[in-house]
Amino acid sequence: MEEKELYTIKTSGFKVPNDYFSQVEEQILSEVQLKNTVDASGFDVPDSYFESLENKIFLKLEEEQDVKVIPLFSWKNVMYVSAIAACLVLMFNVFYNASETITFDSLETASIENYLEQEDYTSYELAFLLTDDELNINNFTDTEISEESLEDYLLDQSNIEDLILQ
Amino acid sequence: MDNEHHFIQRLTHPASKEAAYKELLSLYKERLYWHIRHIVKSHDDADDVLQNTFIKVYKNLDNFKGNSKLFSWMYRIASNESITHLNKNAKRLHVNNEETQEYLMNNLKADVYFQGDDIQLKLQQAIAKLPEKQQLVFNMRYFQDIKYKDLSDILETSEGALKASYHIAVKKIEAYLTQD
Repeated sequence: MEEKELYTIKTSGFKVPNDYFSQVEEQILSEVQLKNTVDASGFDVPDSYFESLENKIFLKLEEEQDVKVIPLFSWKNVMYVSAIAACLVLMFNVFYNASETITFDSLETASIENYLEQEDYTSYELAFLLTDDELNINNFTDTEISEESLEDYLLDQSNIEDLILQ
Repeated sequence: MDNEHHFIQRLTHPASKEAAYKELLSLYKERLYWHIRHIVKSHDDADDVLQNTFIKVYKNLDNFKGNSKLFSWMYRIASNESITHLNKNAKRLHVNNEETQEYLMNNLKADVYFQGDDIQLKLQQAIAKLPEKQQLVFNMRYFQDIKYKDLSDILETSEGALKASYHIAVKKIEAYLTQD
């Protein structure tokens, strides 16, 4: 690159925004004018306000820190207590119920009726529940049933509707 | 900058925190007071906001990242606290921002800690008519001579935008003062 002689460089290369000089003059003048008209804000402070300020702030800080040390009521504690209570309730539900064996007697008749009505089961499944002994046909042939008891049974247990259906 | 770095270290170290905080208080109490006072106008409100500002500063010293100058950070807290205070008052009185400014101006006339003459009262009324951001810029520049560079750090706005904003404010105020 060919070096240029210093005298050939006539400009510095610096530029200013358009209308800068007219704007800056106006800005300076308007500020000077305003300062001449009114300089101070007119606000005042009570005597020795700034001297007592630091103590006031330190007192307030101490107060806040004291309050923090002795919380009278804390949500954290409430959370712990309720968590323990919830665990106890859950434990009672799980273990107490589990130790109680369900017997046929403890079931309400209505529940059994509902179950039988609503559940889908076949007669084969029902028969499967009965043991062989119970199903022994000899029970009917070998056992003597007196006429009296038959009569009593029919009188007590059956109703006309059943007989008609049959 | 090195000094500031060292000062921040003292402020965050438990052993030196109290002493350094005392220094911070005496260094900045007046500057921050006047900054707040120009926003909230009454001395009692400024006193409340200033105390809250310094307490917030103390509590948040450990979180100060040093991304900006300590001084800008405190000015930012003070500005936010002052504006929050004004908004709370507005909510309590069920008024909007403009009405809040009118309310502050009416109180100023009867304020024992406002010793301004007619023209100073008129200046305050003219400032109160500016948008919030222009008020901040004007007050900090005109009464406290804060440099544009620092203003830019405090208000997180470019220097160019701040200069424009300030000159618009000056013109509006002059127009208000010379009317009628």
